[in-house]
Amino acid sequence: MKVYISATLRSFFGRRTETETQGNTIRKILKDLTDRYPEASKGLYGDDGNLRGFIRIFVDDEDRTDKSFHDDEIADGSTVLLLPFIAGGAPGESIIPDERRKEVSLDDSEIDRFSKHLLLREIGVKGQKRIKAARVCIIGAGALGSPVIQYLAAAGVGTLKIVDSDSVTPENLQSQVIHGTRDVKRPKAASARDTVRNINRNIDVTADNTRVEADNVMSVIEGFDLVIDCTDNYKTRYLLNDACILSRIPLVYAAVYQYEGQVSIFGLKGGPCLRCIYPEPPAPGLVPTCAEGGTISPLSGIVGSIQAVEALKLIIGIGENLGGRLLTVDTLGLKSKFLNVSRNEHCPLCGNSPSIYEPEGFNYEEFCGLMKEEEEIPVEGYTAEELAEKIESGEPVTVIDVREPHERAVKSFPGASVIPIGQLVRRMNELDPEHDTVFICKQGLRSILAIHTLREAGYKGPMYNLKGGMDAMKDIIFSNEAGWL
Amino acid sequence: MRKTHYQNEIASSVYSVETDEDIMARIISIAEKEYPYECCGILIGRCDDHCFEISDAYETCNHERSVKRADSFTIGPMDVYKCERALTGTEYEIIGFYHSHPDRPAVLSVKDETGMLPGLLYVLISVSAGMRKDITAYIRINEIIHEATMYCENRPKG
Ligand SMILES: [Zn+2]
Repeated sequence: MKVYISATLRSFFGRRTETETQGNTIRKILKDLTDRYPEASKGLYGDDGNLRGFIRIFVDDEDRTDKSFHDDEIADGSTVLLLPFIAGGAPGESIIPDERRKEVSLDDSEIDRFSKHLLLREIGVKGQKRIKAARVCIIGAGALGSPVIQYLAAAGVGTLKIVDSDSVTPENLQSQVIHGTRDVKRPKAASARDTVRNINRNIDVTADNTRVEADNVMSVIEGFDLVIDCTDNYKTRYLLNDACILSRIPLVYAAVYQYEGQVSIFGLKGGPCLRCIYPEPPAPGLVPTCAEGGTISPLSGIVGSIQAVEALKLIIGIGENLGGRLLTVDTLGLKSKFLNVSRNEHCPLCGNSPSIYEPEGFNYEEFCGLMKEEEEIPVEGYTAEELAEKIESGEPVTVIDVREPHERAVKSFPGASVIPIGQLVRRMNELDPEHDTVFICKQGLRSILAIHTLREAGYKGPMYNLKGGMDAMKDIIFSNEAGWL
Repeated sequence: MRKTHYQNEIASSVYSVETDEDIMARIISIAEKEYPYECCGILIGRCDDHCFEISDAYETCNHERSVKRADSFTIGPMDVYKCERALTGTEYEIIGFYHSHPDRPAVLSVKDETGMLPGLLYVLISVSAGMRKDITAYIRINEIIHEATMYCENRPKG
């Protein structure tokens, strides 16, 4: 078989460009060539025994470099080409400037501790110093925060700030692996800080109990090199995006829901922000927050670990990061894909003529279409106890459950009719305007939206909200519960 | 820190590159035109063991389908093949490649080093805010990477 060898591979094969070889498969041809040019073997193959990245094998204009083609028989009269693939590019830009890197040093114990990083030539001592010099602010010490905080601490990030205003509850322990059973009722930020100290005492770690709001988000992230969004609600997500873009701090964004997650990086030079992709938050009330919706336990581990890797890549300045791309991960179908996203010149925040100059101080309730407008009739409601009493006393009352099917599977309300929020208006005639109707959801927010929606649609019957939702019903047991089922 | 065996060191130079201002001006203008993305192309000329003489440059970053990035470049195998075929029978051959580093220094990145073919010249142009800053040239001999000294003359045409 005649093989054409590019002259650019001359240091392996000499100046010969065409040679007759034994064999009619790529494997046999390569064997014959390396037998005749023993020096070439070192050039063609890496230490792992695979062809080096810059070698390409073509058969009649078709790229046949992949091993899976190597045993295919090559037709007589075909031309086999041995060609180079030339690639390279500018070194990645670290978000930690050289001056900051030079200010830190690694002692013997650190050389020991981080030796697995130092062995990677893309990281090495310089990269590890950058990691040590980095100041990273993590918003949320929950499911996503758990892997992010622990991996960044273990990787040697010198300064960490953990911001979370919640306390640990037993249901958190299913996915928030930074906390343990003993941490229940403790503030999440403090519990996470203790885990970090347990990993490495030398890390400068701060726990911050602040609830992130429009008036404090700028100061919460001030002075940090990188912010990681590990929150579970749209309000904080948009606040962080706005604050990071306005402060020119890159943001590693992620969100998880049920079995799916997405990750991206916002605020890089020339890259997009969250509002470039979603200028406004999703349709009010219809998307349950993660706190309401539920996720499979390891999902946040996967997605949070990707956030941690992206954070380290930005700090060291290596690799192809997720700037300009949105990675989606589907753990149920075990699929992932990239969506290219670019800066939108009409973006209200980072576009050519922006309209947002400070973090948008929207109210969550307003944001979700739940805020009571001035002229709006307030929604009346019952507490869990009041509703239970009403039902126990035998008063005629219709209960409408507006939750999604998977939420009802966890705990159903005895005797309730089920009408998902999206079908309410269409199925309005199923309601009896002569009787009281009580609307329930998980936390008592979507049920308010349900009532407003029906009022707007012209429903005239008396409507009540279950305050605090099913979560508040937890401890109530009906004496005749069996009769309801 | 211990150096692992595959780490390359930049050795002092015994290699030189000769070219003329016209060719360099052309490469620089391509680099500036492509900014903030990387440009790349093939260097054509003659070489012996220590001296590379660039007599022409062939731009490969202007393909319609090529993806423009600020931190990477590729030159396809078929581009190299076609160029080589066109040079058959002439006294010239492919002696190396050039590419630009937008807003980054004209030093080899890890990506550059990994992809370097031995015995060929790699010319780097750093471009800052759309203007050329530095031009450097490197060559890998076995596992060692050398920086080459560049000589640029205003040679009379013809
Ligand atoms: Zn934007």
